[in-house]
Amino acid sequence: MKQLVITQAHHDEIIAHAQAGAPNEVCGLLAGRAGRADALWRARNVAADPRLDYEMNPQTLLKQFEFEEQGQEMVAIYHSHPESPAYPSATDALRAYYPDSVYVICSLADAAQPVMAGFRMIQGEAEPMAGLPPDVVPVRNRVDLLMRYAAADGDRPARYELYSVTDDRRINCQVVEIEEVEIILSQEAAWQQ
Amino acid sequence: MATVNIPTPLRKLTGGQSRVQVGGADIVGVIAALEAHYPGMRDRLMDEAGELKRFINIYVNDDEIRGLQGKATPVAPDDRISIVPAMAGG
Repeated sequence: MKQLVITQAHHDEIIAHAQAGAPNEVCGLLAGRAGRADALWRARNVAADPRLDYEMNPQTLLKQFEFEEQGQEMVAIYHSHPESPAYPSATDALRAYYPDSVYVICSLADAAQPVMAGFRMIQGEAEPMAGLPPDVVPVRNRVDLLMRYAAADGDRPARYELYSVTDDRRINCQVVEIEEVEIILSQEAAWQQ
Repeated sequence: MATVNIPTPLRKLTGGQSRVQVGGADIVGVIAALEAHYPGMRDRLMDEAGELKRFINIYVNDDEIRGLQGKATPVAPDDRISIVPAMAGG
């Protein structure tokens, strides 16, 4: 399993950000090097319905290039799940455009015990399908998307199969693999902020 | 030629380059030039109808083009273009 090292201070700040933003989802970035986060940037959630979705504000999106000019990289993208578990939703998988970054999810489902977990999400190409499998289920709040989820099995990672139906009734299937990333807490202060 | 910042998910198409230089008088022209040099780029940025995909953001310097003239936004040779897929989910 891959690892992401973050400081205790950044870990606590993500939880504080999530709690301050609830019941809306919050989001932000971690910059660093080689799987080790050195700096945290809070973003604004500009999604139309921030209780159910997150979408990072445009100016924060541009920071990924500033990080590189400073010799860093965008090591992680974080967001909160105010009421659901610390695991990618089907919508998270659908919008997982950064396979090289770790997606950190902070769940407040148990208010007394926030939980944080990290994932890599790897999207395959969308493939046309002749029909829908019988056991697909609708994705929450979406009329154009159905899904099937399979837990990890031996060497095979967990995966979503996302089925989208176009206006002219064509069906495309996209597989998104979900790999867990272990979050390691460092007690050191961030050496660069 | 304008400088284009390429995000990590699209660097497979540019041979790993994070920044490329291409011609083009507007965003449509820049995307056509990118496609000519790095085949596959157009399909990652635009849909079949030639519209910018909903979850792709393109900036001229610090301004997202949806707040300018969209894909017809003019591009000057010393402009910096940034292509940025959304960070979004549920």
